[in-house]
Amino acid sequence: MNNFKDIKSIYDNQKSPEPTKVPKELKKRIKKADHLVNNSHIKNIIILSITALAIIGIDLFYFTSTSVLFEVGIITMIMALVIRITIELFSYRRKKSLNILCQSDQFISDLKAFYQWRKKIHKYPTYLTFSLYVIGVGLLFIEFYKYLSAFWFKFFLVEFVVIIVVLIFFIRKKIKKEINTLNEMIELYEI
Amino acid sequence: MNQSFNTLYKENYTKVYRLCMTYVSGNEALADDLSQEVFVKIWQNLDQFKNESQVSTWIYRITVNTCLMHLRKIKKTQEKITDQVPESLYEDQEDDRDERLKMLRACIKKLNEMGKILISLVLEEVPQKEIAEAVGLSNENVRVQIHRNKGKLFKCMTSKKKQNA
Repeated sequence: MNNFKDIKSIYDNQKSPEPTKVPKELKKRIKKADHLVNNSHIKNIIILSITALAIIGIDLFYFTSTSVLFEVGIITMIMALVIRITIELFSYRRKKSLNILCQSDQFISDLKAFYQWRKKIHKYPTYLTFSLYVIGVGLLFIEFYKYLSAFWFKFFLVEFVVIIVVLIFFIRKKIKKEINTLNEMIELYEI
Repeated sequence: MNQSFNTLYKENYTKVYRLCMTYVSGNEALADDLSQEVFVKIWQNLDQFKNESQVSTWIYRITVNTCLMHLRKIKKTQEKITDQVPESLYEDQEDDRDERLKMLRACIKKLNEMGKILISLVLEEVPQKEIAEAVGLSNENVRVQIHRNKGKLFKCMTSKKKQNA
């Protein structure tokens, strides 16, 4: 090992594939990447929008005569979904604006800024939307009280509380994991 | 799939693959995966290529940025791969060549991210001016950093060779 030429010769001696045509696997990958629906943000937006539309539909066509409290509950739930959809839209647009063609030092700082922003939107907005949704469902329960027998009302109430507790546990765990991952990523880009 | 993309793929795949391979310390599956991702990005941005710069500079930039984008995946995979070089170098020429290559990759892995990028491009014989254009550093800064990283690499290779002697 006398000079850099020796290192270069080691590198040059490696075996490298020399393809003669674009493989099927890459063609499939390109096709998949071209479809908007394969993006995770877009998938979330579609699911959340369907949920919002279903709630509106049920409210308009199923529960025709309801109280003000019930409507406030529905609006609160819709608000939670709208906030989440907006966040997902912003996140999608921000990710899309990452320019792979820019110079690497700029790309590194853009990536870092993106993950810092993701960290911000992960914690409190998630708690806010979840709380709004739970409050909304809670308000609906007051209306259900009028129509359900005491047994079924208690049954659904207990079920609701159990689901909420389990969800809080999982959401907290997921947020913690996501924040740790994002911290790890931000650290990686401290180049 | 248009003809220009096919030509671009055939003419540049080897370069892209070798760059990714250096960056991921010789993990063939990951290098192939990243190379494919690079060509997906090339396909998506084909209309944005302007003849202001060379197509190679444009492709190097996409390759480096794609590797940077998947830094976490690369690090996770690398954690599973040991950077230890086998105890002895074999007499067989092919094995000896492989071991030296593994040694080189283990040494490149020890460099910081910018060092890895610069050395990978130098090993691919990319002119300094093109490197500066791809990474966004000044010519002088690139020259200094390449010199520094070459020194680190040389030192690492020499010490590894001594260990195996």
